[in-house]
Amino acid sequence: MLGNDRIPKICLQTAAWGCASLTFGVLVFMAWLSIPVLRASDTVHILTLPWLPGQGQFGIGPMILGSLYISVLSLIMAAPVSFGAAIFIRITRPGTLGKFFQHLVEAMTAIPTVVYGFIGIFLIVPLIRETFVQGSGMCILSAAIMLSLVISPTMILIFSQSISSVPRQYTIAVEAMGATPAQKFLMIILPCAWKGILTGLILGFGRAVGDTLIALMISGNTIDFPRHILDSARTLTAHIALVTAADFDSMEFKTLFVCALTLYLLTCVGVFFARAAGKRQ
Amino acid sequence: MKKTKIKVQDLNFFYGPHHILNKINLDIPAGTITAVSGPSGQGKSSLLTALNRLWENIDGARATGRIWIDFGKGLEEISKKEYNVHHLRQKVGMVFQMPNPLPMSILKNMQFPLKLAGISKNMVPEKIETALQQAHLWEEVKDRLSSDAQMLSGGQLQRLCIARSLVIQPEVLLLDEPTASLDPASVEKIEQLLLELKSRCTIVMVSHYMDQIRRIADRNLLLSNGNLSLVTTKEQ
Repeated sequence: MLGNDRIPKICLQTAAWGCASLTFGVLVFMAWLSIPVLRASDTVHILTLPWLPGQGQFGIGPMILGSLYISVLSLIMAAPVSFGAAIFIRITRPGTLGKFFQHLVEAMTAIPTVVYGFIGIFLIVPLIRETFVQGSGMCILSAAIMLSLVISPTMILIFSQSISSVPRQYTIAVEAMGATPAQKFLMIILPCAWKGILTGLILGFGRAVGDTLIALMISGNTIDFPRHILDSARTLTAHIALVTAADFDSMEFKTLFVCALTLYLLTCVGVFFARAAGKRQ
Repeated sequence: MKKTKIKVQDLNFFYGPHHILNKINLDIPAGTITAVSGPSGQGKSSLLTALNRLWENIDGARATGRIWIDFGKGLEEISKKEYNVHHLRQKVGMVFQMPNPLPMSILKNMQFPLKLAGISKNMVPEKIETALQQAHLWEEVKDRLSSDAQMLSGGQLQRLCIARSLVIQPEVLLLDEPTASLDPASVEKIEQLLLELKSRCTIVMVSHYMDQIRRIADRNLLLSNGNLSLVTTKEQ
């Protein structure tokens, strides 16, 4: 019997190590292919200067800033809404209505991003243009609004799962002590579900940073440094998609590895800070 | 003749389609230990949850009928919808069959009900020490109050849960098979504790153990097929 256990154990270990190695391998691959570009020009310049290929300048600063603006803004918009929705589903209306909304949210996760992009172009972009009477409406704010819709379902599901995973013995104990629903939520459910909520935020941020289509379709794709949420911007992912579509051998193309490496590290830094914040909690 | 502390009139309890308690009428005298016994699934725990309206937090549960409790100003009808249920539960403590410490330190477990009740911070250390002493736990934990409560043994955990209920000085204590999962030494400590407590609060306890009921209960009520009958009193 013990001998039989070894085979599934080896299979599972291989799968786990395989995933970890693949993730690490991608990092090494991107770092390796970035070396020629980083050697040819100053690393700091690549990360901070604007993208002016006509002048031989391949900085990805505007794209880094664009990615950060759009993803952080979308997370700021999506997090409270997702949190409220999760509370509604699991605490306020855990019965039929809550289940209905849960199914609705599950269905939302399956909608392709391009559909959200279309909705953004025909609904959000004109709305922003008419509201602020500035530019084409294809800007950071429009992209962040649509992106918050894209990342919300995942966050809602993770938040609600973490809320429901709080053991009933804790909640019944505080109910028996006379806790009001608000006290129960703030003093027991929230501290117990905190790690799951953090995971939801990390995944939401990762999804926002990594999304390509929304930014490509709605953010305007300007290669200037964005200074305002109503400015157009280009994200790293959109930049990779746009340059790859036109070229695959020039210096412009080679800088994409630096873009990919930056994206990778940006997500890692986000996860690191979120985890550090979680540990301090 | 002792004053009536709890009065139950025509209490029906339903769990989904099942009619669990059938028109229960009951008077519980103040300062006594009332044991409720009977076969499993007959509604003993449901009767307890009717007394602090905890059934309202249980999916599918429903109760009808009237319940009064005397909190010092005469009998008040606590089954009325408008009666403040949070205030009620601070006056009617409850201890469950399985010890259910919160995932925090011993001290924070004890502070929790005081925080809920909005009791002044100055009073907290004194109240915590008194409650832990009443539960015969003070000597065992006084040097490690900041340790995780989950590190305590089963008997200590149950005494911690009792102390946590006592810290806000409830007038009624409901215990749902409080010694079911404990070793004989812990059972003895808890029985001793309950005998000491009954002068301060009225105790209603679900128990399967007839020996225990004989040792500590003033009255034994038998719940069978949804009907309640008085089996014995201490005087008998």
